[in-house]
Amino acid sequence: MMEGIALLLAISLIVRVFPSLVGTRIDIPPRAIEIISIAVFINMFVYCFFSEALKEAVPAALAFLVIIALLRQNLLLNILLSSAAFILSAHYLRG
Amino acid sequence: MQPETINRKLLTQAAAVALGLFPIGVLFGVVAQQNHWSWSDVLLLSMFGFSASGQFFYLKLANEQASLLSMFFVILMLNIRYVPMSLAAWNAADNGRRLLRLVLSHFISDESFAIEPRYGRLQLRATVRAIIYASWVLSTVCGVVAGRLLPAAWIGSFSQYLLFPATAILAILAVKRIDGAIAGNLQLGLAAKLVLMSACVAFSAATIHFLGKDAFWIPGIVGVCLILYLCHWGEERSNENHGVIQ
Repeated sequence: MMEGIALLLAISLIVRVFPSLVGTRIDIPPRAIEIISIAVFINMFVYCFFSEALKEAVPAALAFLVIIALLRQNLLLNILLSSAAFILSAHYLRG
Repeated sequence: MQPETINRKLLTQAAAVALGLFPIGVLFGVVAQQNHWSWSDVLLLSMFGFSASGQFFYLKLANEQASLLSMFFVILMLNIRYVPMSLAAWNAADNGRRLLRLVLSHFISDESFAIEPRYGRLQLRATVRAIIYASWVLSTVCGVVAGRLLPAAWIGSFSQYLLFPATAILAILAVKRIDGAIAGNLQLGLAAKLVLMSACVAFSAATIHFLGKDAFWIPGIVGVCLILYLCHWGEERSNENHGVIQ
């Protein structure tokens, strides 16, 4: 148990705290920050879609359509309806 | 929009995300309880190892009796995406408070990165992170308690569906931020912006296809950064900052 805590803490230090320490030493231009942010979000979206689509293609496609359709609506409503679309369609497709 | 309205909107978003993440935290607690973890073990793991995907993977790999070294590399690859996030999550105005900045960097999550404003006040960003962090830690401990009370067969039938809200939250936040970036870019026409975004998505999809879900993060992010940089994304604001008139 303690090894798990130590392992995850060490990884957090490497991937979150250390880069932050580096970031205090160099002045990152705003354009670079904007580009990195968009690149992270694009990859995050693709990751989300692929991880669900590889397991349940049709429910994932349906849920992502709901996400896009309700993008300008309330966040919680979007989470609830897209999750409902995924869960119900996956449930019915499995029979 | 008034700053108070923006702050309220951000905190409402953080609360909605925390609420959406709650069932995933509960699920983690339930799975950990089934693996004979106590609530105090889960509390410490969630506090110091704060990473939903990392914690789920650790449980899975520990169950499979993987070596510590292989667990380290698998989870490192999975969490390597935090490196660019951590670099981009700060701005020059935060430099006066280095220690606080270092402590707060442990609380960066996919969700907080997607919600918090890049140039907002440090206090506001810290609050967003704290809401998500507290919700995660609390939900995992609640999961351990729920795991003791609920029948194992019932948990098994529902657990397969409980992870989707986490994906939905990340996808919604990511698309919202991409949508905001497209709307905020006045340099390119709408068609050009859509073509550019489609190219970035295609590149990222190809990277995940060829390298797999665990190894694609850094090549995917670096590749998309290069595409955006070569297409002069955000150059007009950079020129404005340097007083260049086109």
